[in-house]
Amino acid sequence: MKIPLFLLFAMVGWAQIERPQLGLMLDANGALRPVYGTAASATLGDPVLTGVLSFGCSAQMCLMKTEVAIIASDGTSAAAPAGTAIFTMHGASAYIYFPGSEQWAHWRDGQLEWIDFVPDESLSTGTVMLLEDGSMAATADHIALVRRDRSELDFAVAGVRQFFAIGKGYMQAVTDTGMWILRVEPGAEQICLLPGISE
Amino acid sequence: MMLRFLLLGLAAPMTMQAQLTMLIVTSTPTGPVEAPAGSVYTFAPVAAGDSADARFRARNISNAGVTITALGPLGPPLGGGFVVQFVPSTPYTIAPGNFLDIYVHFVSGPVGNYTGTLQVGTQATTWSVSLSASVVPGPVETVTAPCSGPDPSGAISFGRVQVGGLVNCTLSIFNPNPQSLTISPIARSGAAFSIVAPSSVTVDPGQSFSIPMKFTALITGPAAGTLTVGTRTYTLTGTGFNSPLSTPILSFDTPTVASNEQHTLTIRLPQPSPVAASGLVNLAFTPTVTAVTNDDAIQFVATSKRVLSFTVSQGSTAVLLNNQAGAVFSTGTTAGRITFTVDAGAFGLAGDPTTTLIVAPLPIAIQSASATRRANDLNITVLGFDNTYTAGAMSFTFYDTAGATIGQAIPADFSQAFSSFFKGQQSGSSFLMGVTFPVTGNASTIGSVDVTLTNSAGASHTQRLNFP
Repeated sequence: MKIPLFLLFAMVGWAQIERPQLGLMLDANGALRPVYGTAASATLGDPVLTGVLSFGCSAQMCLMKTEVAIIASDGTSAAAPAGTAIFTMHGASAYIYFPGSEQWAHWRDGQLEWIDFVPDESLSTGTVMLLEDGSMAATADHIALVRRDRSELDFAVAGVRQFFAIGKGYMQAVTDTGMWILRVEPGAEQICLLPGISE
Repeated sequence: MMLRFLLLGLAAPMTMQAQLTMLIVTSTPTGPVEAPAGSVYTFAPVAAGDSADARFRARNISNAGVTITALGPLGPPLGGGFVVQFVPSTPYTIAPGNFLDIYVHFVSGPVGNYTGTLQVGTQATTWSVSLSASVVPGPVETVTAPCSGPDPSGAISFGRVQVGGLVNCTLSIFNPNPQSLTISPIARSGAAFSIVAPSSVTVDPGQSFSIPMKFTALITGPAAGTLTVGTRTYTLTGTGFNSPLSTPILSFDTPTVASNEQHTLTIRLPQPSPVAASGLVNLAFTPTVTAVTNDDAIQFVATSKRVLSFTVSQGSTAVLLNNQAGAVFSTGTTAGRITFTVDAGAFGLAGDPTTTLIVAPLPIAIQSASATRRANDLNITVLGFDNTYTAGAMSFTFYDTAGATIGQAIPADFSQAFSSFFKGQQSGSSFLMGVTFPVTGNASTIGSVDVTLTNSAGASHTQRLNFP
C-alpha cells in the first residue's frame, strides 16, 4: 500500500517522562501506599489512606474498604457492613462481597446497590482472584495462575490469604511473612517481594 | 460561679511570678543534678577554638502556669561570646511542676576574658545571671593509628580487640601558639585505659609532646573512660570480644546479578560458632554512574532497610538473617557496586567477610511498550529503566498497515528531557515515557512502529507496536 505523499509527520514529536506507578499496595499496618518503579525494584510512597482492610483497583478507579465504609478514589464513599470486602473491579464499577454479613453489592456512580442474593448455604470463600483472561488461586504452597486456554503457571509462594488487584496488570498477594507483587500480563509474568514497612 | 473563675484568673499572675526558681544542672554518672544557680556563673577555662556549655533550668514550683516573656542573651556572638540555644520562642508558658532548660553555649574567640548576662523574664520579674568565661591558648591534639579521633564530640576510639589483648596508640599535643603552653592536669579514668604521662607538662612553641595510651580488653563488650588534657576531656572507648567467629561465607542464589532483580543472601560459618552470637549485616551501594548518588530500591526488601540482624547458635554453622534462613534484596535499577559487610560486634570475626556484587551497565530495559492513535496524533508509551542514566537518543520506524516501511527512521533526541527527569532521583532509573507524533495527512494508514532506544551501554528495541 502506497502512502500518500501528503502524509507527513508535522514534527519529530515530544516526550513526557514520569516516574512509573505500578499501583497501590496495602501494607502490614493497614496503610495504602503507592508503588513506584518496577516490580523487582519497587519503592513505596507515603500512605494515601490508613485503616484500610482491603481494596481493589481497575485502570479507572480504586475502591477501599475501611471498617465501616467503602471509599472510592474519586472521593465518593458509602457506609458498608463491618469487616473486610472482596472486590471484582469492572472499569468504573465493581461487584463487592462482604463476607461478614454475606451480602453482595454493586458499586456504581459512587453508590452501593445491594444485590438480592441469599445463598442456600453459607458461602465458603477461598483465596481466588478473577482476571481478564483467567483466574488466580492460592493453594497451601503456591499460587496458580490459570489462563482461559487452561495453561497454568505456578508461583512458589505459600500461605497466601488475600489477593488485591493493585493496578493495571499487577496483583498483590498477602502472606503472614511478606507482601508479594505479581505481574500477570501474559508473557511477562513475574513475582517479586514488595518492600515491607517496619512496624 | 463565673465571677469566681475570673477572679482566680486575675490572681494567678501575681502568685506565679514568685514561684519560678533558677537552677544550674550538671551531668553526673547517675544523671543530671540540680543546684541553685546563684547570680554568677563562671565557665571553666576554654581553650582557643573550643566551646563550652552550661545548662540552666527554670523550674515552676507553683500550682499555676508561669509565662516566660523574654530570654537572653540572644543573637550571634561577635568574636566569641554567649548564645542561648534550644529554647522556644517567647512567650512560653511553663506548666505547674514543669521546667524549661536553657542551654548557654560559649563560643571561644581570641585569648582573653568574656562576660555576658543570662536574663529570664516573666511578666513581672527578670532573673539575671552574670556569665564569665576565659579563653586560654589551646594545643592541637591528634592520635595515631589504630586509634581514631578525637571526633567533634571529643571521642577517641581504640576499636575492637579480643579479650585480653592490647591496643596501643599515642596522643600528640602540639603547641601552635607563640608562647609556651602548660597543660594541666593530664589524667585518665577507666580501668581498661592507661597512659604514661606526668600530671602536668609544658610544651614550647611549635613543639609537641606525646602521651602513650593503652587499652586492655578486660571484658567482653564496650569499655569507656576519660582522658583529661588541660581544659579538654576526651571520651575513651574500646570494645573487647570473645574468641571470634570464623569468617562467614556469604552466598547468593546466583553467581552474577543484574539490575532489577531480587536475590537471596544466605550466610554460614565454615566452623561451628564457639558461642551464641549476634550482629548486623550491612548493605551499601555505590553507583558507578555519575548522575545519581543512590538508589533507594537497593535494600533488603522485607524490611525496606539496608541493615538486618543475624544470629547464630552455639555450635551451629547456620546463620539466621532476621530469623530467616535467607534475606531477599533488590538490585535496583542503577549500575554500581552492592557491598555486604558483617558486623559481629563484640563477638568479632576471624577475617573480613566483605562481599561485593557488581551491577553492570545495561542497554535500556523495556518493561512494556504500547502504541495508540488519537485523531491525528500517534502516541507511543514505553515503560522501562536505564541503569546508566544516559537515555535520550531514539529512533522511530513507522510502517503502513501492510507492513511496508514509511520513509526513513525518524531520529529523536530526548536527552534533555531524560536528564531533567533523572536529576536528583534517588529511587532508581525506571521511567514511563510518552511520545506523541502529530501527523499531517491520514494517520489511519500508519499501522505500526518500531522504537529503538539508546544509552551508553547500547541500543534496545521494542517489539513491533501496532496502532489499534
